[in-house]
Amino acid sequence: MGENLLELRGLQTVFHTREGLVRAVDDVSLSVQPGEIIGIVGESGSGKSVSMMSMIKLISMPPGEIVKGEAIFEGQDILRYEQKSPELQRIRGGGISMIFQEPMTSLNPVMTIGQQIEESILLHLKYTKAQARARAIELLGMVGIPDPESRIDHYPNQFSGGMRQRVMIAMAISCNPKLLIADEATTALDVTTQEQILNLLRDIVRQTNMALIIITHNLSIIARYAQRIYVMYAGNIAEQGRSEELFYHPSHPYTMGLLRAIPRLDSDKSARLLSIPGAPLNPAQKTGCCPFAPRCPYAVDRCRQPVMPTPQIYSDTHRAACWFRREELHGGLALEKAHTHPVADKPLLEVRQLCKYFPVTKGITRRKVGDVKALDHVSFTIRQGETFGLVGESGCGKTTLAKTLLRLYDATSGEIIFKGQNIAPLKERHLRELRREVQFIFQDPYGSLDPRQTAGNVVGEAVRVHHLAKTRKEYERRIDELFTAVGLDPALKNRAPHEFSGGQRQRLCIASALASDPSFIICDEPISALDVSIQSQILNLLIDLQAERNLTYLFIAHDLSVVRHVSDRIMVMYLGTVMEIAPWQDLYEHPLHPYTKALLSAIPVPDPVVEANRPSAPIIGEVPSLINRPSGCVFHNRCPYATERCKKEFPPLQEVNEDHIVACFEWEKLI
Amino acid sequence: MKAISRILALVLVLAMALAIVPATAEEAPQRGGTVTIAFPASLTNIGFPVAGGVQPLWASKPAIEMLARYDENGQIKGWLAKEILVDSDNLEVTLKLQEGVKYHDGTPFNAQAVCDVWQIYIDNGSASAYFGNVDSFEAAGEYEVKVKLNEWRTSTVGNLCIECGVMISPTEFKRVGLEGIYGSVVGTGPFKMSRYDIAEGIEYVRNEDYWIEGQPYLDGINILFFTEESTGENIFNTGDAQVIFGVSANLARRLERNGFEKICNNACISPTMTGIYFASGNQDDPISKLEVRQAFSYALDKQALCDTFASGVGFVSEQLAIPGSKEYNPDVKGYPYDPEKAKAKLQEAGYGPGECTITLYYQPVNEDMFVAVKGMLEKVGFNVVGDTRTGNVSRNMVGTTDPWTCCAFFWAPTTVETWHLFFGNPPIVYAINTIDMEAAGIFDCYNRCLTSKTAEEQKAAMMELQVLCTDEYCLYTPMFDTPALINFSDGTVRDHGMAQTWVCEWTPEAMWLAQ
Amino acid sequence: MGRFILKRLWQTLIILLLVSVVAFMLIQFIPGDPVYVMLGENISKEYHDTVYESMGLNQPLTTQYFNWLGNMLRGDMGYSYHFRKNVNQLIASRLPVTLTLGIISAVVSVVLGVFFGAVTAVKRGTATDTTLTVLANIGLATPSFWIAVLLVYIFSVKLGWLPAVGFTLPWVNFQKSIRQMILPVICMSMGGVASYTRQMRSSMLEVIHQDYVRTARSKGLPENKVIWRYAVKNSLIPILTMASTTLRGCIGGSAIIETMFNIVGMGQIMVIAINYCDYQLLQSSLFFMAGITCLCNLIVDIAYAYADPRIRLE
Repeated sequence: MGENLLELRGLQTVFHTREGLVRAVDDVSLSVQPGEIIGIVGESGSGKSVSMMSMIKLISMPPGEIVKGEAIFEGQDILRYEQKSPELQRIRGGGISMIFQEPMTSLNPVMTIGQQIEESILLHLKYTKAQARARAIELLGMVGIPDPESRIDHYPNQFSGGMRQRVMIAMAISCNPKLLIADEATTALDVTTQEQILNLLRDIVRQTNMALIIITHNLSIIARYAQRIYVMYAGNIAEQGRSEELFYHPSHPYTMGLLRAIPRLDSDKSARLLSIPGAPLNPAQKTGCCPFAPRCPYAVDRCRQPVMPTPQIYSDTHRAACWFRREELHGGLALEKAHTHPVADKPLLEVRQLCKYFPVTKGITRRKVGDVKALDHVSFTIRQGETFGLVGESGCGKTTLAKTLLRLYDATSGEIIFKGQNIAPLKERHLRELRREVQFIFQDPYGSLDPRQTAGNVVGEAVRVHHLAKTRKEYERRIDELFTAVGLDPALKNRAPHEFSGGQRQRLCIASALASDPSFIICDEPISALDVSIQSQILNLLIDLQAERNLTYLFIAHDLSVVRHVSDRIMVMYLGTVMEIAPWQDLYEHPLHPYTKALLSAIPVPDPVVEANRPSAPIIGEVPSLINRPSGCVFHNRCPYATERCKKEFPPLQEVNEDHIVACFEWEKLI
Repeated sequence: MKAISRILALVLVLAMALAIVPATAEEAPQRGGTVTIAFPASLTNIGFPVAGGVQPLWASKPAIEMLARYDENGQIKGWLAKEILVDSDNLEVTLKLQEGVKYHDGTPFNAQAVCDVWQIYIDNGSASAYFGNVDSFEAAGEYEVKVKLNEWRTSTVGNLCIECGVMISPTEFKRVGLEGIYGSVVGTGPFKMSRYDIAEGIEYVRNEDYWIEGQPYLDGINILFFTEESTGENIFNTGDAQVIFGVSANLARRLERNGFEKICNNACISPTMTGIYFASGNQDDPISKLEVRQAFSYALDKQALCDTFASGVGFVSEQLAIPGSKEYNPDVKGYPYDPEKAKAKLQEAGYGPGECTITLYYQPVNEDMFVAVKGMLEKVGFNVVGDTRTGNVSRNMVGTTDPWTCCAFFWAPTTVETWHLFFGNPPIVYAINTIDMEAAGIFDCYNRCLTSKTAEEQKAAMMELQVLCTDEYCLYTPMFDTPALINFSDGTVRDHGMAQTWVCEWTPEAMWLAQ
Repeated sequence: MGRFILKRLWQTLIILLLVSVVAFMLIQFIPGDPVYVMLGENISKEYHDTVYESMGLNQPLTTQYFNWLGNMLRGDMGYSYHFRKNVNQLIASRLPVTLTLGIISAVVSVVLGVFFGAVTAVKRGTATDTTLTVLANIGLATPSFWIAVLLVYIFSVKLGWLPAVGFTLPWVNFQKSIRQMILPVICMSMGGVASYTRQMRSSMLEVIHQDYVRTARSKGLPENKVIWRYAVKNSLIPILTMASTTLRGCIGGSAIIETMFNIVGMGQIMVIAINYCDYQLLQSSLFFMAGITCLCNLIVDIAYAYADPRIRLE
C-alpha cells in the first residue's frame, strides 16, 4: 500500500436549515491512493456528494458549514483554505476535478466547449492560448469526440448528452488532476452510453495514474469498476471494503439489504425481492444512534442508544459500522416465494401496426415539412394476467406508446384492440369504460399528485368519477380498503400528498390507479425516481397486487434487470420500432437482436467476479434523435453486423419460434 | 456704559427704521437682461394674430404694435396712430401716424401700409364685420389715413385701431403669403423675432432701430411654451421665467399664497360672469312677475356660491360688469343676499311657500351648482324643478314668442363690446317675452350703448342699461365673476403694463428688469 | 442566423402592415367631418374643401389607404395642419430629442439595473440586498410623473441645482444638455432600473444555482470570474428580452415625462396632435413610432439570438 493521495479524516458538514440542523456528513473518513478507483454508494441524502463537495468547499456556505475534519491532499490539509482562497482555487480543477450528473446543464450554454476547456487550461497550466487550444483538441480526441478540430468551436447545445459528458471529462482531466470525482456522472445517460463513459473513465485512470472516485446510487456500476467501496447511509459510512469483500461478505445490515433488494440479471426470479422496510433516514432527524437502527431487522436496544457503533473490523480494508459481527446477524431475512399469477391464453390487448407521427412544422404558416415517427408500425399482444415488459433507451417510444394506448394521444394509424374492441378510432365520449378499465402509474410520484387535494381525495377521485360507491360510507370504506391494499395506514388519508415520502407517494399513485378496479395497468417507469431501498418495496407491491387482483401490466422501464424481474414477456424497442419480443428467459438467455445483446451486455451486475468475466461488447455511438432517424433498419448505424441491406430495407418482424419475434435480417447468423 | 448702550440702541432703531422705509417710489429703468415668460400653449399663428384671439396677439406684442392702445380709463389712445380724430358728424375718422417708423424688414410704416394691412384683414380674416360701417379708407398723405363711414358706432375706433389695428408688415405678407405669415412675426415693435418654434417658444431680441429713443430697455424677451400647468409652475418657481401668463385659478391661489406678484387688473382679464337669466314667453308664468324674479335674486347667497364654485379667485358682482370697468355702475343696488326679503317678495307676488314652481335648466356638469341654488331657493319657498336640456334647446326657444319659460345658468363675457358673444345675442334678448322690452326702453338704451357719438354719451347709456336690466326689471341675476388669464411675476419685472388696461395689452418697450 | 433575421424581418413587416391599418382607421373613427374636427367649425367652406381634398378624403377608403401607405413608403408622411409643416420635417426635428433621451434612459436602466441586480444577488440576504430590493420595489410601484414632481420640487425649486425644464441636444451645448437631462433621465429610467434590478436579481439567483456555475467553481475559477463570466453573462439573456420593452417604453412612452419637463419630442408632438385633432400628424407619427418600436424589437431579438447560441443555432 502506497502513500494516500487523499485522506479524509472525521469530516463533518452540517446545514443550517429552517427544519433545524442537518448533519449531512457526519464523521466521514476515507482514503484514496493514486491510480485507484473507489466507489461511494448511497441513496439520496446519504451525504455521498456533500462529503466530496465540502472537501473542496463547493457547497454553499451558509447555510452549509464544515464543522470539523481534515482533508489531507498531497500532504496538505485543504480544509484549512478559505472557500474563495487562491490556494483552494488552484486545487479545484488543478488537483481535484469533478464531473457532475447533469451533462445537459453542467456546461455554460453561452460559451463554446473549446473556450470552457481552454479556460481551465489557461488557469492552471502555464500555457499560451495556442497551446491551450491544441491541448483542448487533443483532449477532445482522447475522450472520443469525433472531428475535434471543428467541434471545439461548437456550443454545448450542439452536442448530445453523452457527448457533453465526454466534454465534461475532457475539461475535468485537462489540467492533469490527481483525483477525479465522478458524481453520478452517468445516471442521466442511456445504458449503452453509460457503459461507454465509464469505460472511458477507467481507461483514463489506467493511462494517467489518476485516482477516480465514482459516486453513485447504483451498486451494480460499482461492482464493475471500483476497487474499493464505501457505503454511506444518512451521512455516515456504514461499510467500507474492497469490492469482493463487500459483495461477497456484506457485513452491515444495510449493505446486506441493498444487495438483496436489487433485482439482478442473474437472480432467481421466483424468489421475492427482499426489501428494507421504511424510508431512508432524513439526516435532520438523526439522534446520535446508529442511523440505520429504525429499519434494521437485527436492531436491539443497544442500537437505539445515542452512541455510534464501534466499527467491526474484518480486514485491513473491510470494516462495518455495526455493533454486531456479521456472524451474529442471522434470521429475519428468509427468502419468500414470490406470488405467481396465472396467465390466460386469451389476449387482453392486441396492437396492430400502430403508428404515431408528430408533424414537424416550419415557418409562420406552420407548413408541415415532415414527421417525427415516434411509433412506427408497432405490433404486439398482451395476454390476460401477464406482465408485459417494455424496455428501450430514450426516444424508443416507450412513453408515446403508453399515452397512445391510454388514448391521451390519437394514433396516426393502426389498431388497438382491447378486449375485442378496436379503441383507436373511438370518440372521447365512448372512452369512459376504457378509462375505468385501463389505469396508469407514472414515473414521477411528485408531479402526478395534485398538491391541493388530500391523499384520500386523490385516491378516491376515480371512485367518484366512475360512481363506484353509492353512499358516503361505502366510499370511505373503499378508500380505507385501497390504502390498506397498498400498505398505507388509512388514518393518513386526510394528509396532503407532500407530507408523504417518495415511496409512499408512489403507493398513493398505485392506490388511485386501483380505485376504479381496472383490469389493465400501464406502469411507466414506476420505480426509477425512487431510492434503491424503496424500489423493491414497490416492485413487491405491484407483484402482490397482480396476484391478488388478477391484473395485467404493461411494465415500461429502461432498467433491464427490473423488467426481467417482473415480466413474463418482454418487448425491446428502439427509435419507435419493435426490435424483439420474447419470453423473459429466452430474451435474457438467447437474445437474437444485436441491440438486445448490446443492451444486456451494458447492464452491470452487482458482482465483481461475474463482471470481470463477462465479455464486454460495447456498441458504438449514441441513440440518435428521432428527427435524424436512420433509414432501413433504424439500428444499422450502430450495429456491428450491419450489411448494405440493413441500410436500405426495414427488416420485418420474423417469428423465430412461438412467442419469440425479432426484427433482424441477420439473426440466424448471429446465434 | 449706559450712554454707549443708549446710543447703540438708538443707532439700531434708526437702522431698522431706515430698513423698513420703502425704496424710492420712482425707480429709474435699468438696461439689459432678458425676461422669460412662461406661456401655457403652443402657438401656431402668431404672425397674423387677429384671427387667433388673445394668446397669439399677446405673444406677438414685442414685435408687432397696434395703431392704438387703451388708457387707464378704458379709453382708446393713439399709439402708432398718434392722433385719432373723428369729425363732427361722426362719419369720418382721420388717423395721424407716427412719423419715421420702420418695420423690421425695412418697409416704412406709413398711411399706405395701414391701408394695405386693413385690406389684408378684409381679404383674409374673419374681420370683415369690423368694417361693416366703413365706406372707404384711403391714404390722405404720407402719414394720414382717412376713413369714411356710412354710420357711426361706438366700437368703430376700436375696430379700426385695436381689433384691426395690428400692424404687420404688408411686404412680409406679400413675400410669404397667408400660410407663411402665421409663422413670421414682422412688425414695428421694440423687439425682433429671432427664433420661433411652434412647440418650444418664441425668442425676441432688441430692435436697435426702434422708433422711441432709448427704448426698449431689455436685451430680449423669451416666450416659453408649456402644455402642462405644473410644468409651467416649475419653470416659474425655479426662476427660469420671470412671468407666467394665463394661470388657472388653482395655480393663481397657490402663487398668491407664496407671495408672488399678481400683475393684472381684474377688470382687464376677460372675466366670465356666472349667473342665471330669466326668460318667459308666457305672461302667466311666475317668471313673468318682477317680484318673483326679485325674490329669486334675493334668495341666492352669491358669496357662498362664489366661494364654492370660483376656485377662490372669483368675486361677486351684482351687475353684468366687473367693479372698476367702464361698464360698471356703482349706483346699481342689485339684490344682496336676504332670504327674508325674498320671502316677502314672493308673498307680494301672490305665492305662498311651495306655491311657486319654476324650472331651472342646467348642464349635467353643473349639477353641484344646481343643487346649491335649488337649496337656497327652496329655503325661501320656491319649488324648483331641474332640467338638463340646455344648449341649443334654450337657444332656439328663447327670444321667440313661443310660450317658453326658463331660468338657466349662463356664462357671459362682461364687456359691452363682447355682450354679443353671449349666446350670440346680448343678454337682454333672452328676456324678450318676460317684459315688454320696447316699452321698458331697454332696446333703445342698448342701441345707444353701441352708437353713442361720444364717450360720455356711451358711458351714460351703459350706466342706464345696468340699472334697467338689474334694479328695474331684474332680467338676470349675476352671481360671480371668475377671472381667466391671470398673470404673475416674481417681482423683478417693472413697467410691464400687463393687463392693466386691456387683456391683450402690455408694454414690452417700457419693460425693464430690476437686477 | 441569416434565416432567423429574415424570419423576424418578415414578421416585423406583417406587424407594421397591421399597425398601418389601425393608424389609418383612426381617422375613420372620428365622428363627423374630420376637417371640421381638426380645424374648427369657423373655417370657410372653400378652405374646408381644399383640405378635404388634399387629405384625399373624397376618395374611396381603400384608395385612401393605399395612397397613404404608398406615400409613407416613399417617405412622405403628410402635412400637419396644426404645425403648418410637413410631418417629415416635424419628425426630423423632434426625433433626435426623443431618441437621445430614450436611448440614454434605456442604457441607464439596463446598466444600473444589471449592476444593482448582480450586487443584490451576490450579496443576497445582506443589508445591501435588502435595501436595494426595497428601493427597487418602491421604484417599481411609483409612477414616473410622481417622481418627476418630487425631484423637480427638491432639486430645482428648493435647491435650485438643476433646471426644471427644457432640453438641449448634447452636441449643441454639452454642459447644458447634461444638466437638463439629469432629472428626466432619472424619471424615465427609474422604473427600468427597478425592474431590471429585480429581474437581474432573480435571474442571477437562478443562474448561480445552475450546474454550470458549480462546474466553473469546480474548475477553480476565481469567484469574480465565476460571477462575471458565468453568472452575469447567462443572467443577461432573459434581461435582453426586457430590453426591447424598455427601449420601446423609453422611446414611445416618453409623452408624460416630455410634458412634465417641457421637452418637445415625439411624445409631446403626439400629445399635441391628439389635443388639436391633427389626425394626419397623429396617423403618421403613430405609424412611424410603431416602425421604430418594431425596429427596436428586431434589434433586441437579433441581439438575443446572438447572445444565446441555443437560439442562434436552432
